[in-house]
Amino acid sequence: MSATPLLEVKDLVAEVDGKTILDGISLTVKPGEVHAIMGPNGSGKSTLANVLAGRDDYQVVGGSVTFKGNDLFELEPEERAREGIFLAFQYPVEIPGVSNMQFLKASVDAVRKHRGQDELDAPAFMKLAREHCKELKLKPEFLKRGVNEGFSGGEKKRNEILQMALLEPSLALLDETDSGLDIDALQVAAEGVNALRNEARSFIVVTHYQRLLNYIVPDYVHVLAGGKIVKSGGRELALELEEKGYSWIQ
Amino acid sequence: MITPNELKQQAQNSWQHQSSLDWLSLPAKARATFAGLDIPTRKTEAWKYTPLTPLLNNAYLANQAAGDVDAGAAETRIGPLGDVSRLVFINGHFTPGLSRFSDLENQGIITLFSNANDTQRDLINAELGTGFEPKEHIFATLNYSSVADGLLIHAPADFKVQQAIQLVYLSTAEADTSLAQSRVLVCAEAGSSLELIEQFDSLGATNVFHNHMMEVSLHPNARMVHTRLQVEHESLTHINGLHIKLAQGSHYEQHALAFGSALKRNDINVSFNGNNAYCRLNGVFLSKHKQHIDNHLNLEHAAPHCNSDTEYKGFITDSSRAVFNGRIHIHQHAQKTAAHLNSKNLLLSKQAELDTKPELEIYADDVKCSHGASIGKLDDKSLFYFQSRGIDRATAEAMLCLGFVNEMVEQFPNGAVIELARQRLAEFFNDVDKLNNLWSLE
Ligand SMILES: Nc1ncnc2c1ncn2[C@@H]1O[C@H](COP(=O)(O)OP(=O)(O)OP(=O)(O)O)[C@@H](O)[C@H]1O
Ligand SMILES: [Mg+2]
Repeated sequence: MSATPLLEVKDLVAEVDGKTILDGISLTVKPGEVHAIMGPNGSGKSTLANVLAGRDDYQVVGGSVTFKGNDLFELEPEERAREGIFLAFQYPVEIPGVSNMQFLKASVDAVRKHRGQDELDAPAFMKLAREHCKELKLKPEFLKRGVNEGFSGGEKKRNEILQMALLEPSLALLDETDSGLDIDALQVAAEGVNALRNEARSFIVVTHYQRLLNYIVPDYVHVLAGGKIVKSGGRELALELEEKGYSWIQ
Repeated sequence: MITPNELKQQAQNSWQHQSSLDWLSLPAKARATFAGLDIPTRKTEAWKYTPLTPLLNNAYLANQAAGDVDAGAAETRIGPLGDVSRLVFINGHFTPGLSRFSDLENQGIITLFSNANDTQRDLINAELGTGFEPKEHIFATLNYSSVADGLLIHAPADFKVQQAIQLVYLSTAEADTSLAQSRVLVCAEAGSSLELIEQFDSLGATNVFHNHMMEVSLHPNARMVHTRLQVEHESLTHINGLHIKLAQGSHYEQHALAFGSALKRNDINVSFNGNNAYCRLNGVFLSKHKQHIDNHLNLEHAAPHCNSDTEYKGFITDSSRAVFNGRIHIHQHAQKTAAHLNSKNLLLSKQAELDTKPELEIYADDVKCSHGASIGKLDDKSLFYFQSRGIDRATAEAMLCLGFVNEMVEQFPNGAVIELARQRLAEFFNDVDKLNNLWSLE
């Protein structure tokens, strides 16, 4: 395993309308590692994921983030995605009128082009998308429907995993991908993630439930509270949190 | 430029006597009504945002358009819609060579006024011109003042018209600016059903003013599904009146796609005259360049237990101008009405303008109504979703805009019409390609 970090977050401070939400976060993710982030509602987990993906609702007012050794904040959101950052949203948006297939194709085309890979022609892409659908137990009709339009909560989450599988990111940020999934779907989604695990690819998994971590076994667990990482440990920390809650930490 | 009064004079001079339609009682009445009306100006409430400048600047009414056309070009433009009964009108003139509807003609379901038998004449005389208040619709009155011919679609009781009926109206370039008029009367007897596709298009640029009228009367429990494409060249001036009467338990559903032009005005007037009638109006309109498009909808809920759902979307860019007026009028005894109207608009340039006026008049106390209008730009969250998948912002904006329009188009009830609509949309968007510049408004 290479020792150069894939992602290095240093003293990151971010705010919305003058209100501090991330209050000095530091986190180092090396290639191949899985980091779990847990923490109470409103502690800043989604904000961290969104800031890394480039959402401009948040103002970064302090600290730095490097990704593959480069300043992440120099990059537009679409450039980050092409460089390999993938955010599976906590609440994926519905985009009626744009078919899932069109959306996925545009996305995969853009990313592959940037990576110097050949563009997939329509039939090849369809075939690939259908295969991934099958693995995630999504009916192929999902590809024809509007992006997330009328999808159930669990279907939206699986659609996020489908996109991740197609885009083959080097750093995937999974924001509560397990919420809203039934037990079977959770296993399917976790298998989808595990299938992508390798020594180069890293994951940051935001979750409220240690159950997910039985399937996606993390190398590190961090507790985020009040915009700060207040505790870090190995996977046993998740079990401890499940038993005792968060209050004992602060 | 002539004055409104001169325009009125021009109209009255244009009237020709049609000896073949002597049996038709309406024109004489319409002429008398027209004589007492004033051409609308900006002071006329219903025309406040839609000036009649093109009519005052072009002597449309001085000439009657002819109906000559290159059949091959027309056929290509019309496009294949599969197994439908088709009637084609060139500048308002029925064109037999491009039409095929013998089955429905033989069954007496489709008849030109000029071929109407006595029973059909009685029906036309009884129904035509009864769907609206003539004083409030001067162009309808103008249309009925001089009737060269017309089309009757009559579904007998309990008859399901299997084949969709496609009415194609093509405008062309005439030697002189001229007037084209057309009119359709749809009468669906109790328990009958039909699907109608109206396709307004043109063969390139046109110097015609098309004044079109349709009246629809749905008898108890009759059903009609209606798709309207108004995808003509932007040089066209088009005024369109659609007046729908709904009897008890009847069901009317419309899906519309309209492009702006020199002047385009649609009046849709729905009267709920019997209990438990239903009406859906779905529409999407697009305007660019200096186009103008005005949609005036009026839902008269005059009977209890009726429902209406209206959803309109507007895509307005460049220095074009759109007007959307959605009026819901719930009469005092129209209890248990559920009427919902929603209009969403994308205003994509600083020079573009939309005038929208919600009008909700409720005189009954036990009703459910909503009336929403939004004018906006593209949703930030959706844009970020695209970007987070590697799609650049300009492409994301383009895809979202297309999606905004496509969401309505994909609900069209007929797959072949969806294809046709998409082709026309592709042409429309062809020169809206500076999406980047247009849409990077803050
Ligand atoms: N765009 C925004 N505008 C204003 N406040 C915001 C915005 N986004 C987040 N916040 C606030 O920042 C705080 C952190 O929100 P965030 O969504 O990151 O929490 P979270 O840890 O993901 O919570 P949960 O477990 O409920 O998903 C909350 O108090 C939230 O209200
Ligand atoms: Mg969250």
